[in-house]
Amino acid sequence: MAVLNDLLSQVGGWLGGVLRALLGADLATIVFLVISAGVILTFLAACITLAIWAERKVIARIQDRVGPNRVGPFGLLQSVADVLKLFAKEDTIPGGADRLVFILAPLLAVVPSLMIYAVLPWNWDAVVARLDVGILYVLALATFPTLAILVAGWASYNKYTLLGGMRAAVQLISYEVPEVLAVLPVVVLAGSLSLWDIAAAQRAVWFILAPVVGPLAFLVFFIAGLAEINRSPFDLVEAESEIIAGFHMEYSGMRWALFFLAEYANAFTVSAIASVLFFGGWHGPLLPGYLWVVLKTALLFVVMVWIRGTLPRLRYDQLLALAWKGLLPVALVSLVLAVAVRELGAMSWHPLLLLGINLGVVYLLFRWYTDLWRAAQYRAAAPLLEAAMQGVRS
Amino acid sequence: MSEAIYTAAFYVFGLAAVVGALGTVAARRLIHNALFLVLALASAAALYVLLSADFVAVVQILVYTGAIMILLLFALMLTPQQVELPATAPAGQQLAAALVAVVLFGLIVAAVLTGPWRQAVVPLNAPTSAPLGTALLTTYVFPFELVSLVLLVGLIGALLLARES
Repeated sequence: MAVLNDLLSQVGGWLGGVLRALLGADLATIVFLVISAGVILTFLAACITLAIWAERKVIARIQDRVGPNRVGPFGLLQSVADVLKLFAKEDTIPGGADRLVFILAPLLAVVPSLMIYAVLPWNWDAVVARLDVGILYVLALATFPTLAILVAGWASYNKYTLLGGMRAAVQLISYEVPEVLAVLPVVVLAGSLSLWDIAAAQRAVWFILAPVVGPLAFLVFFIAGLAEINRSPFDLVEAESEIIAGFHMEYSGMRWALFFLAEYANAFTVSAIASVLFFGGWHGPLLPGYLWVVLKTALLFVVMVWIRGTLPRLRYDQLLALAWKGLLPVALVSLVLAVAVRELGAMSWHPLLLLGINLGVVYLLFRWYTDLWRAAQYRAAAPLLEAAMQGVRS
Repeated sequence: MSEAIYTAAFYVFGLAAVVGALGTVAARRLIHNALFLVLALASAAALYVLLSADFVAVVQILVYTGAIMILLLFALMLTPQQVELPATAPAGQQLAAALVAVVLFGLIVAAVLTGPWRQAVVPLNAPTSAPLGTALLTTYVFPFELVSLVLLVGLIGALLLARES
């Protein structure tokens, strides 16, 4: 197992040595970085192909359908066929479009989304860039896709695309605040902005177990993350029933595919960063670290799909109310609590005690939410009941 | 990183920043100006990285391109009549602007040439976020609190404006 565990750094060290011998130190660094980027991007592309298939399958099961099952075993090759189809499609640019901006927008969406993976720690010895301000770098680059959506919506010269772009902008500006605030408790607990340091700090206890703070901060981070990458139930940017396909309506073929790629890369980013911030990154029993990272990311991605299959799309006012009246106060409270947890040294309490506290918190949250929901149901049903009763009485 | 790569990166990003800055003032459509401004700000962030100010660079991206530019573009798109710039400003205004630009440029050049530049005493690849945080909350705590007061005033002002309308 030890051999498998530092497989990545072993291969990397060997490759680095060979390159240095062949090319000299300067060029070797560049070539090594290019190769690392190539490996990560290839892996990511394979994961995304698989994720699209998995998402369609899971959604199909939730909706009592079979899902893709024609191309390859279990329909596994469906995504590959779709990509080939996209390659062959005609590339159209609308007449009134701002051509240069229209062409550049998909690139502006996809390149920063992929750049984030430079700082993701795959294992304790496998990070391409161990950046001291890693988590801020992630949050900064995560804003670019929204910029791209906004610009794409404008450049397409179409009112529906423009509306989609506008929605993306408002959504980002609102959810950026709770997103950053939900990261801060983790930064307080770990005492560092570096993703590697944050994961390393969870050697004994994962931050999701931090009493009260863990579940609250994770909830806010995950919800705000979903909103920021425009995933269901926050996909107002491309709400079919209101603005057709939203910002990418005028895009076809590979340009559209780039937006699609960025969208899935972003979904993986939110899952991967959440797994590093709250679920211990590479820490886990038996399996090598990098497999744990991939496994945790995949599980969180399935949760996203599950949410997509369960919840209806939010209305616009609900979206903004949730950010400003719901997530923002919760994030602020969890930040204050994180400082208390750090001062009390609560992270070194027995893990079972921490687990007990947090299960209690989750139960209370659940109870509070169901009570709230029931109250809303009664309020909505009251006039109808009243009317029915009147009918009975008369 | 060796000298050659560093220098090459400096010229690439420096050029990008200059092109972005020129485009910001020269482009004809307001959205293009805004996009050139994004390029200039992002290139400036890259230059900060080369100066090993990683925290400042990342915050530059997060605040300027992430929040301010998106708000700016949003506002621009909500005002369709303003998307095309008027062809020329009045001659007097152009003259005054040129004068101010020349004087400012001269001042900056003079400051760069005569300034007593301090050489780096700490290794340049050292992290900057922790020292920055310590400095802000110890030595510079008063200016720091003053700035937060300004932000608070802005916040209250925004609330008041939103309430009246």
